[in-house]
Amino acid sequence: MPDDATDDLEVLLGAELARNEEAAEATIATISSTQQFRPPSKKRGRDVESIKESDTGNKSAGVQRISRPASARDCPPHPGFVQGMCIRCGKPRDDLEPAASANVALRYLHAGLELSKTEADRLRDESLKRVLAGNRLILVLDLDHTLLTSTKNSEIHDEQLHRKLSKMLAEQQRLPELDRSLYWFPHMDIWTKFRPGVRDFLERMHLCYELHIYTHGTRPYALEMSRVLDPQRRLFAERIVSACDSADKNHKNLDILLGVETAVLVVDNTHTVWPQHLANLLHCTSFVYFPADVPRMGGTALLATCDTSHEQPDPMLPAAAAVLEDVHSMYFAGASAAGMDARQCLAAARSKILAGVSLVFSRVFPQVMASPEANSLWKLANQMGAACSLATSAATTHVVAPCYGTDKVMWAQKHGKHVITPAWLTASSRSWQRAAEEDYVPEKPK
Amino acid sequence: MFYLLKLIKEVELHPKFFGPNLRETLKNKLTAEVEGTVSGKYGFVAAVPDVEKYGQGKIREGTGFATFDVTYFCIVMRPLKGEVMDCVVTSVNKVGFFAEAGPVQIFVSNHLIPEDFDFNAMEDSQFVTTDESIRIRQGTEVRVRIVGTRIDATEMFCVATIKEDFLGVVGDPT
Repeated sequence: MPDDATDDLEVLLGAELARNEEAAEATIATISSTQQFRPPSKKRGRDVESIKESDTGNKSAGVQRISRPASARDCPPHPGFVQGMCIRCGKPRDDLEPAASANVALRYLHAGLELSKTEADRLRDESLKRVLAGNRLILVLDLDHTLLTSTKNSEIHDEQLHRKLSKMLAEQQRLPELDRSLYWFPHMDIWTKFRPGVRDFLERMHLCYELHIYTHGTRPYALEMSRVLDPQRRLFAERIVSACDSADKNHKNLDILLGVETAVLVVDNTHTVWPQHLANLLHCTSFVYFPADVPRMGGTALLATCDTSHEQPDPMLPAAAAVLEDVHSMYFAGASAAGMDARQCLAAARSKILAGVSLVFSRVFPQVMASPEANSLWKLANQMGAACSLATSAATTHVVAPCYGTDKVMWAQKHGKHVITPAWLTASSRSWQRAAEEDYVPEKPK
Repeated sequence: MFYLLKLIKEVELHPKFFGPNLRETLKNKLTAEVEGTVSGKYGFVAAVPDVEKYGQGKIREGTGFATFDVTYFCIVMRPLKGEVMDCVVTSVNKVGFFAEAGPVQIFVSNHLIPEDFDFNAMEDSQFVTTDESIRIRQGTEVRVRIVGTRIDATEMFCVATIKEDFLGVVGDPT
């Protein structure tokens, strides 16, 4: 039994091994040609140059060409550590100098896995090349209130709603797996409802994007959701980040996904968690189904109003899918994807929402302001492709006003133009579609 | 690697077991306490095949429990640096792949995977050779050489390589 001073097999078996190795090398050269699996090469590593030459042949497969330094035994610099051991040479971390603080912890892949900054950057570039070679971009999806919503069983106080849920569940359990949208997880005591159209959305997105999940829920919750959304592990595989993997509990960051900002888009119903990546964010409406979420999220609980057998369609996910597909075709439209920025494509897609709309604001902000363009609603309207002006003209199509009675509103009514509240702008922005003007008419004066 | 050791452990027994089956109960209790644990010094205790001798029981003051020094044989498993072992891949990602060989968790980083292999995440995360003849994905059996080990009370973790002669895939998950 080896004593704990050493766990090295070579030391234990003595120098015998080293001596035998030289003799063995001579015989290996003759045996290797008859090996069953590909002849393992004795040469330690090919040049990075030769790898790049053969790179062009593999563009369509979406395969990541791993470019590595010439020799694999080149430690330090240690590329990363797992459970305190270098991933390349196996040396324990405590023996070495204190590690640089810029280490990226990839806890969602494995607890205790950390990469050095240079290694993380290298992998980021590799991932980008791989994904682009497969004609895809990267899409990060939030779970709660974006793709689905969950609630604890203990929070459903209304007995009637509880009965309704149980009845719906019984009906759902008779459906084939791909048609189900309501789940009950006894071991977590949670009810989960999928957003209408979520499976369709994921399938469409899988064709143009590499999908990731980034949620603030716990890891077991995230894994359970991915198991029902993606039973064959095709869509997400191991690309699931949960609350414990995120460095900051209140914010989300693209760093740990090893994604390059110009090729990543995010779909999330909250924008406050993405302070550094607002340009990558497709801010969507919140999906509220259970009554316990209403005080926090607003809106109405769909559970109360829906029919047990008939699902109310939600236009958000199909609209988001259309926008994302649009961005994808814009990105890959040119001869080469080099230099394209997905954020610019997203901004371009956003400017199509209110294309052709020309608006005038009335009693929304003081008209004598120095620069009305600085007003947030003005900027929002411009981002969505609408033209804004201070005075009405023949080209004006909409007048934004909180109430009736102003000059501009009366002009609009006389000429048959739309009169809508400012909420119409925010609703259009969140649902990524021109909102119906009839739903945002100001209240008639009493 | 597996070793057969002779160790001594103190086992405590409640007076209700003092009877004709005392020895059997002692052996069962020892087995339950020791099998499946990982000791930093010896590794993972896989089985207790036999007990060599049971010591004289001493009654603890204050309680009615009796302690016995039991000398027993045990088979332990411990990975060693430089050892070659077969393992099964549990997950594949862009940094490398994770595998397990019984109680031992193994990580092979992409630095220690031959250049012929490329990471492919189109349908299922896997490493594939350029001519697509060999794939490493969940369930594949791989022969690795251990490069570093870390053993603590909860688990045994190793970093390994397949970048040497005669290492690599030995079985497909089909």
